[in-house]
Amino acid sequence: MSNIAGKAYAMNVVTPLKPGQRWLARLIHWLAGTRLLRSKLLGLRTLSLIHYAGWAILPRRRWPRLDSAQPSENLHYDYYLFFSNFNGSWEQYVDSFSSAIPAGLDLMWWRNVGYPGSVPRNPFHAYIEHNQFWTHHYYSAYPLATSNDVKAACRLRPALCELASRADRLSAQEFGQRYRTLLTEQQEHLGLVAESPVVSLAHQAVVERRRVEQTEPAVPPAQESGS
Amino acid sequence: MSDRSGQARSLVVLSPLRSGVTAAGESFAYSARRLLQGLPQGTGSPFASVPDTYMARWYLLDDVRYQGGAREDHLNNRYLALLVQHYGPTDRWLDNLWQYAQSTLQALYTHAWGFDQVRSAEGWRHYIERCRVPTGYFFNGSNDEPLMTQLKALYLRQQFTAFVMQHQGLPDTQLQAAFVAWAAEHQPDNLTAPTWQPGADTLHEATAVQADHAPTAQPAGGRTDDGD
Repeated sequence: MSNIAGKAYAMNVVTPLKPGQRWLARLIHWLAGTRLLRSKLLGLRTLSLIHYAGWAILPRRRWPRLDSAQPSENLHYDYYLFFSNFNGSWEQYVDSFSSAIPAGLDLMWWRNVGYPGSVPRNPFHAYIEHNQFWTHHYYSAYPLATSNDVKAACRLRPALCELASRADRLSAQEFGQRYRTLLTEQQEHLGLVAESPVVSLAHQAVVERRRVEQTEPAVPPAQESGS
Repeated sequence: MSDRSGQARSLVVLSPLRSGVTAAGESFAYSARRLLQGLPQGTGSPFASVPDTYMARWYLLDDVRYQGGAREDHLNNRYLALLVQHYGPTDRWLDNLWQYAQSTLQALYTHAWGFDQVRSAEGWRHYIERCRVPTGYFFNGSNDEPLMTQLKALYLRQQFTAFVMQHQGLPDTQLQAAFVAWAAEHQPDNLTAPTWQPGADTLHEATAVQADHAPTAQPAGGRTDDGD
């Protein structure tokens, strides 16, 4: 079980929608991508610690049923499925969420049963914690990198390609000027990544088990009493 | 309703798990959980071989939580949730998942209703379509370049930052010669190599030369999780 892949944390939250609110929730999802409501969620972008996040709606009568022998669901509520991949700890993320985009969160979750509002913090924490599901296998293509690392690297690369493509054809002086210009323009995109202290909880458990196996002597087989 | 943000796509799938027990006497949900927890992490993950996988996860949804009040919901099935964020068309990604992680999929989804009729990539896509939950709002806080481009960019940033630190204060002539040598070694335009290995969680592993790492470079000729 692991919610962590290097610097990324996987969050899954499943919550019931108040009856009859599904269409309103869908409308809000649609409007969230338009200018009308985009400003409410602008903080998602400026938070800058999210790789990808999303909300999905599962109507109460449309849970996948693939076989006539499969029991059908008998639910009172439609359900909201929220997922996120973010950098940092659970507390940092949830706190940032409620501090940076309280209006956006309230907009997305306001028709959910039991939703206490994004402020004050403690009830919101309790709500997320109560409805969170742990991830059993989590993969990130770049556990070493944060979302900002990916964005910075992708902005830096075209400038490097451009300079590299002509570096050997420039005079030394001209090269020096272009090199320094590149550093000035790209300095905010430079940086070294280092390994995360915790790669994943599952990985950590394996490392710990190996450590114990190596440091503790094997238990000798029980000797038969011959006396 | 949007499963995409630029070229980045979101896939949300809920597969109902079979009732009853496996031949080993375990519930299907327990057995699936045990399989998931035994999967290798990082570069060994089944997803690491699938081109253009940014992030992916599996979790078990065993029930919904009671919120208080008069109405209390419980699920009659347990569900295996697959959530993926990837680059490019989802059908192509699903075909690649089937191609590169088929044995893992078969071992895992044998526990799910309806998977027993899946025999091919097309059948797999059809099965996923029956279990798919549309993403209502998808937020991309990263970027939507192909994964190969992202990994190469991360590799270059690491190498170039080290270069800058090591070559401060050099005369232009020496600086130019050093940079030309750096560019020849690290090949900024070459997305295939040298680059970072997908899923690597140590710098040593990330920057190891991957002579046999074809999947990210060439989806048609990659490693499968059968090891061939």
